[in-house]
Amino acid sequence: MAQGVQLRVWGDYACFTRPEMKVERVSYDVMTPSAARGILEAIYWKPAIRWVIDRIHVMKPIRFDNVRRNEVESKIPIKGATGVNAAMKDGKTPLRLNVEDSRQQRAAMVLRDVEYIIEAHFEYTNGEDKNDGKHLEMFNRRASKGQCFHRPYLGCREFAAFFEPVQGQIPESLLSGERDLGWMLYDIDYQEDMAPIFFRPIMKNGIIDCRNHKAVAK
Amino acid sequence: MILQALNDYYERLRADPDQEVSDFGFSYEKLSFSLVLSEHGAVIQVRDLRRFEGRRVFPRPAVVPKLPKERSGKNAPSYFMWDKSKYVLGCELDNDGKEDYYKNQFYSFAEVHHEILDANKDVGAKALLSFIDQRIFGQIPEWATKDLLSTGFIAFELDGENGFLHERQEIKDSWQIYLRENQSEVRGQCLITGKKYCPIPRSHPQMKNVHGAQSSGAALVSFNAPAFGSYGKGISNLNAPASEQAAFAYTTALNTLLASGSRRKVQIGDATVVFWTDVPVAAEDFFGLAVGGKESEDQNMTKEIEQHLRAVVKGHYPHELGKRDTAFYVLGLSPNAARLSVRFWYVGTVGTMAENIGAHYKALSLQRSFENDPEYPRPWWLLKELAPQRDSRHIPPLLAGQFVRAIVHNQLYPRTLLTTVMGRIRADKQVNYLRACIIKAYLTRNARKEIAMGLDKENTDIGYRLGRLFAIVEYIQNDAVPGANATVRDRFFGAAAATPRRIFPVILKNAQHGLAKIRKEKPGWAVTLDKSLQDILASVEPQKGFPATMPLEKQGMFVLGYYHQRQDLYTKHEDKTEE
Repeated sequence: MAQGVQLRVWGDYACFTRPEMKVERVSYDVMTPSAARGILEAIYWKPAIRWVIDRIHVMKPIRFDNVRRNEVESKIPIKGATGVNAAMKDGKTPLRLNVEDSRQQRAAMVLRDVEYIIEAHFEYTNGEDKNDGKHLEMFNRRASKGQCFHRPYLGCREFAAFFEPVQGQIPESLLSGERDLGWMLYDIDYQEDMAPIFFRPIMKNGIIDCRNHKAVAK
Repeated sequence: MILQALNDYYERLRADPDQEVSDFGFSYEKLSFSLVLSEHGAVIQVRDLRRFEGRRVFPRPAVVPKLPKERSGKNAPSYFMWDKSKYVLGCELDNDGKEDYYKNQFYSFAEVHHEILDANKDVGAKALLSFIDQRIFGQIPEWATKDLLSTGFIAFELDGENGFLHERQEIKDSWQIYLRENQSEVRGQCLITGKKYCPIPRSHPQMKNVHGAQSSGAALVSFNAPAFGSYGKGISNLNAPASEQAAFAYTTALNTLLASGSRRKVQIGDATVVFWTDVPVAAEDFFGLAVGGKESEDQNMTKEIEQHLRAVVKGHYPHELGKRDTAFYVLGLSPNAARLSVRFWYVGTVGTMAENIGAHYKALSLQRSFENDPEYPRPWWLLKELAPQRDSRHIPPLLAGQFVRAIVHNQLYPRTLLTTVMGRIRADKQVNYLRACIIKAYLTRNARKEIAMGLDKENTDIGYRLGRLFAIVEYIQNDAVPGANATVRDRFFGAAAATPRRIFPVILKNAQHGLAKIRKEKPGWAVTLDKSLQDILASVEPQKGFPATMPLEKQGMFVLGYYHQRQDLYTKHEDKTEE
C-alpha cells in the first residue's frame, strides 16, 4: 500500500478504558483502533489526511494489574460566576478547583508491559495537498527521529508510549490461537452527536484486523 | 467482556428450569408487609411477611414489578404495586420514632397507579385504586403499626385470593404495556450485544450484597460525578450505551450470583468474588472452597475438597469436577464509595483453573508445625496473617485482590505479599506455619528458589543457613535460661535477618555462654548443638564473613531456614516440648 505505515509502540502500562467501566477503570484486553489513531495523529497529522487503522498486532501476552489513584470528581464550570466564560471575559476571575473538597479515589485495572505494532494507512479528506510521498515520508521521518506534536500515549495520558517505525516484515507475535474480544469501541462518530461505535474483533495469532469496520468512522 | 459474560449467564439461567430469575421489568426484592384489601379497597388485614431468627429479621424475597433503572433523586417516582410506607401512606417514622410526612411521595404513589391501572377492569386493580383514593394525606390509619411505618417494603393482596396483587395476570399485562411505552427515547448501539438503535437507559439497576458497599446497592456502571462523563454525555449512563434489556440482564445475573447464601460467591479480604461456569458443574463448589475461606459445614464436602486438592497439587485432574474444557469465569469486585470496582477478571476453563489452584497449593506446601495445622491453607487464613492483630478488617486493601488474582491466573504473587509478611514478623516476632507457607510460596514462584518441604541441610543459601543458625542459638538460650523475659528472638530476630554482620557475633558469643551452662548438665547434648553450630558456620564463607545486609528475598530464606531448623529441633527430640 502506497499510503501504509507500520509503527511499533510499547510501554510499561496502558489503559484502554472500557466505556462501561470508565469510572472504576477497566482496560480492554488490547489497544482499540481509536487509541491507535490517536498515537499516529500525535506523531503526524494534517487536515488534508485521515488515519485509518488496518491491523493491530499484539506482541506480548495480556497481563493486568490494579492501581488506585487520587483524582477529582468535579470540573471547573464553563458558565457562571466562577466559570471559564467569566474568567475569559474579565481576565481577572481566578479559575480554581479545591482538591480537598472533590478528591475521589478511583481504582483501575490496567495493562502491564505492552507492545503493539500498528498497521495503518491514510486517506485524503479533500482534494487539497494530495501527495502520497510527502505525507508518508514526513510520518516516517518524524517517527524515526522521535518527533511528535504531543506525547503519544497508551489509552491514558499518564501512560506514555514509546515508538519507532517498523521496517520490512512484521515479527511474529508471542500470542497464538483465536480469541473473541467481545464488543469493543471502534471510534467515536463525531458527526452523530459523538455516538460511540462498537465492533467485534477476533484476535487471530495476536493480530486484530480492523479493515472490515472502517466504513463507520468519519 | 464482563458484561457480555454476565448477559450470557442470564440467558443460561433463563433456560434452566431449576433456576429462578426474574423477567425483564421485574426484580427480586425483599418485602416486609402485605396489606390485604377488600374489593372496596378497605384494609382487612396487615400481614407480616418477615421471618424472625433470634434477633435477626429476614424479609421475604419476592418478584415485583420494577423498571430496569434505578430510582434516584429527592422526588423519585413510586414503585408499582409495592413500596415503602413513605409512598404508600405518605408517612415514615424517623430514628426517634417521630412522624415525617412526604407529600410528593404520597401523590406519586397515586399518580403512578392511576396511570397504569385506570384502564384496567380487574377486581384487584379496582380494589387498589379505591384504596389509594381513600387515603388522606397527613392521616395515619389505625392499622398502621410502628414497624410498618418505619421498616421495609409493603405489597398488596386481595381478600380471599392467593398470592400478591401484582401476580395477577391482568395487572402484569398493564405493567408490560407501561414498560413498552416507557422505554428510553435515547437510541444507540448496545455495547453488550452490539445491536443498533436500542433504547438506552440513563441508569442501571444496582448490585446488592457486595461486602462493604452500601446496603441499598452499588453500581457497576455509573457516572456519578461531573468529572467522569465524556463527550458531553454528562453524568448519565449514556456514556456507556447498554440497551435496556442487556442492562437488566447483566444486573440480574450479577445480583443472582451475589445473593446472600449464593454458593458462587466468596469473600476474600475486601474483594467479593463471584464465579460461574457455562454449565453447572461440581467445579463451582470446589472453587468456592479452595479459594474461599469458609469451611463447608458439610464434613463430607470438606473431605471431598481436600481430596480434589490433593489430586490437583499432584497435577492430576479430578474428573468429578466435570468436563475439563467447560468455560469458567471469575469476577472480583470491591466497593469504592457508591460504586463497584473490578479487582480482577478471569476467563478460563475448569481444567486450567484446577491446574492453577494446584500450582498455588504446591508452592505453599510445607512441613506442618502442629498436627492440626491445615494441609491446604486457604487464602483467607493466609491473608489474616498479614493483618495487624490478625483482624480481617486490617488486611491491606488491594493485596487480597492481587493475591487471589495471582492464584487464579497462575502469575507471580504481588511483591507486597513478602514485604507485608516480613513486616508482620518484625513487628510481633512470630514465625508460624502459615507465615512460613506464604514466604515459601512467594520465594518458589517469584524468586524461583528450590525449597524443600522440611529441613534441607544441603541448602547453602546464606539466608537459609543464617536462619538455621538463629534457630539453634535461640534453642541454646532457651535451654540454658528457660523462661527468660526477653528471648534472643524477641530482641534480635528482625535485626539478625536484615543485618547479620552486626548481630550474629554478639548472639553467637552469648550462645557460647549458654552452651557452657548446658555442658554442665547435659554434656552430650551440648556437643551435638555445638556441632550443628559448627556445621552451619563452616559454610559461611570465611573471607566474606557474615553479610552486612540482606535483601528481602534472603530475609525470607532466613525465616524459612529458621522455621525448618526449629521444626527439626523440636520434632526429633520429643521429650522437649515447645516453650
